[in-house]
Amino acid sequence: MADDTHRPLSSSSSSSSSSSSVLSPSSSRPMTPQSRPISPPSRPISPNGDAQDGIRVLCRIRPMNDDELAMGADEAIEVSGNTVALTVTSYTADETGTLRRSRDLRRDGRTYPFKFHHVFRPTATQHDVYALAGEPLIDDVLEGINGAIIAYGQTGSGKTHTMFGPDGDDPRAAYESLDEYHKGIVPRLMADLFRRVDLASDSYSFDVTASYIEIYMEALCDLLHPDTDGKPWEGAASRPKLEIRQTSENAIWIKGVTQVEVRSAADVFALLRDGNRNRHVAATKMNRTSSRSHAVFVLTVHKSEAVSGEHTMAQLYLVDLAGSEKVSKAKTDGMRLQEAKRINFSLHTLGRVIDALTTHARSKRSSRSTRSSRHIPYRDSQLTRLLSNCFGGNARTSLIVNVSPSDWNSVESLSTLMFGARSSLISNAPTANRYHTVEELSAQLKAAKTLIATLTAENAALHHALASTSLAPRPLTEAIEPARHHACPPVNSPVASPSSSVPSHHVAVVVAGSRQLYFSPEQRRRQEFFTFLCPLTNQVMTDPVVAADGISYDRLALGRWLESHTTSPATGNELLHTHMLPNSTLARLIKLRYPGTLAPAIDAINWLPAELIDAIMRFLDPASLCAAARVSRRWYHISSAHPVWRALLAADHGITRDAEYVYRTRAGAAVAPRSPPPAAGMLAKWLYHDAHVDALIAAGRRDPSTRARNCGIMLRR
Amino acid sequence: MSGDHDMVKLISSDGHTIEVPEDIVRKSQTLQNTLDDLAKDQLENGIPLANVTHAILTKVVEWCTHHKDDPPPPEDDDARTRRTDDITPWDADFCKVEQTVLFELILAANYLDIKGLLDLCCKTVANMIKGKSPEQIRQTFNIKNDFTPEEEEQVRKENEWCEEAGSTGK
Repeated sequence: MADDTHRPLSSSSSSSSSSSSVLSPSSSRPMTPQSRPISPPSRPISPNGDAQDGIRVLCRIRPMNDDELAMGADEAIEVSGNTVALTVTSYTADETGTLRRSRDLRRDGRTYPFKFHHVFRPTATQHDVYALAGEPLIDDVLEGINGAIIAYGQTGSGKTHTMFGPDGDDPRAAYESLDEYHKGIVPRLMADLFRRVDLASDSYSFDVTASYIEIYMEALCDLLHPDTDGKPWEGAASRPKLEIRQTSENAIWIKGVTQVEVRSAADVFALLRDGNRNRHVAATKMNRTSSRSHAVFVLTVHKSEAVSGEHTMAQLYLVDLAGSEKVSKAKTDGMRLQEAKRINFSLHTLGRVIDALTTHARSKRSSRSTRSSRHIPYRDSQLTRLLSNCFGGNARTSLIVNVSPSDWNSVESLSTLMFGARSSLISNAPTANRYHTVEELSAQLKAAKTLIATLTAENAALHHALASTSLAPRPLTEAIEPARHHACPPVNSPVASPSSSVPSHHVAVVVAGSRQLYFSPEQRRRQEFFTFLCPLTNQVMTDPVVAADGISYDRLALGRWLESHTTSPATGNELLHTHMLPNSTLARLIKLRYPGTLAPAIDAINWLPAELIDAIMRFLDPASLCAAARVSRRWYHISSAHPVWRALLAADHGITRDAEYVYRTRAGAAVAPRSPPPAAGMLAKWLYHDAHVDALIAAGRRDPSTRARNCGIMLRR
Repeated sequence: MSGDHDMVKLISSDGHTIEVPEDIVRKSQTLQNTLDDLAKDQLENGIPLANVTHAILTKVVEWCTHHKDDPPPPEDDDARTRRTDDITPWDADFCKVEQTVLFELILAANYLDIKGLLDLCCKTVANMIKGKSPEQIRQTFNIKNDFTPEEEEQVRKENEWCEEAGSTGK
């Protein structure tokens, strides 16, 4: 069954597909003819099945192929229940490409056991795989829960066969094939999904859209873009660049990607075929095979209920990761080597993401500090950004690791199995993306209409401004003035104050999406200028940071705004968090365009992310920590929102107390009458205050709520 | 495999390549994972480090070279001492750099996951904070006081209890 041809010394091609999710704020979506607007998602509410959910990792072992049999390869894998035991035999290739057994590698001869959620033996049928990996996702997707199916493994290990079937290179054929028995997961899944959609009650309406993206050498390529015409790489400059964005709900969407409406499984496979044709053309031009790029097919399913207005949205990612074979074996050189490095680098980043996530899970209880300083490097590669929901995020993920049974491939199988084993430790937290009541929706619609009206007006005003401005470059200060004078007055904006008017920042996005305007480089540079302006201050940003709404602001201005608001200054939507992520790309670009014009970053220490300032504070004594807490808002929050106090007590003073004691001490002092402390320094000071507060509480003169209020900090238990 | 020291090429964010002995590269947990994950010949063209400039990378390598025989730092964070007076003279000298360089070192040490270096730099910065009043700290690091007067008063009150024990006092 899982019998795709295995050609050890050349990479066999595999193509397939996968998915990524795309949810997007309406203002920045590209307006291709087929694309459909999607209302901005409101906050997902957690419904039924949102319990913490591990990634379901399934291991599939393909049968020996002819090459392996001909070479007399031995079985390297033994299966017992859901456990596989792999015995590693190392081979290296000599100059002629002949493989020789090498003796000096440290893993040679060792046996490694791995446990998975399920192990498919070579005799397992396509239906068996589908029943466990694909079918369970259908209910989820229709309920608004994101799903993902990811195939991982070395080239020739059966990924494409698993995903599509024997005709995997032509998904349309795979779908239309009458060979029901050998059909892969995707044809079965699509058929079942659309059968369910067709059978659903009339009160439900469904909108299904699809996108198909390829990641090659860290670049995103839209395989469905109408201009692609078989030139996905050369044409790149003339179309909006694809960018991965994240909404405040942590949903991933791709700015500028083509979304095509699909109504049937046949539509899906027509798209896959078109996309794969683009992929193959690109592959030929770049002298590569498609198995050297990652392919992501995203199916977005919107479901609306006519009566209640309830709306759910879910995305299904179908991901075919590039093979991760060792370079030496594949005789890789030159361009291939560069590719292999990039591919392996994004796979390597994926491995690091998984490492970080599982370390996080393991150390959750024991080590606070490791957790706080451990960040998940999703942003290090395009692949991990796109798949961030599939690993550790809001999605139910089936990861299928494909391995060859032979000892010839045992080193690759080992790394594949290790990847799968580590992945199975990750916790995902899928929640239904359900958007409530009609009232909420109409409020959103109203807001969106207002926004569109404002943007349209402002856009017109800006065109006017552009047309009337000479194209010669001007100094920065002059450039700002026309922007203000021309942009603002003609706008019949319902809001008057400059800070709440629609940010000029958005204009570039709108223009980029509308496709009707193409600018000369000079004009484009002018457009670009608006992205440098902070929506709050209308000044070029000195220290751009990204807020939860995905828009960049000046750090200081945003900080001031967040003091009194919990909503986005640009969209008015509630912000999910108040973190400010430095936008270093934008900062670099601004610095490049306007060198010397702007003040340097004022407070160099605040380049450091909070967790590193926290790491510094760990080394402070209590008195200095108190002083540090009074330095600025940021420092105050860093110092007080963290159990650094407890660490201090335990480490510096050799006494262990419940953290609440510490907080209490800190709060109590604000109210307790000052009395001269005992002379014996800090330790006595701590003890004195503890005793003092205890006495006050015992006397019933204070209650805990006052404490908490005075404290002004979060009590964490 | 040859017995002599394997060199690993590291490429800084500004495009410079430096060659570093493998045992020194392995001081970095991040790079150690990279080395283990990638095949030898994949490393031939070097490992790109997107977040580290040449100047900083040179400093990091300098530190790792000097500390290459140190025992690995203890795993348990809580047991780690909070002392900041245990900096060796060589380390202290190493940290006599501009503030921005020091912060970049912290970022690089965090990115490369070199615990010893991260601790050293954090301790150095902590020593710059210790014993200073909030205003002095702001001056040292050029931080803007963005509290409103009311907030400042509230924060002052919250932290009042340790004032006279601290070395500053009003």
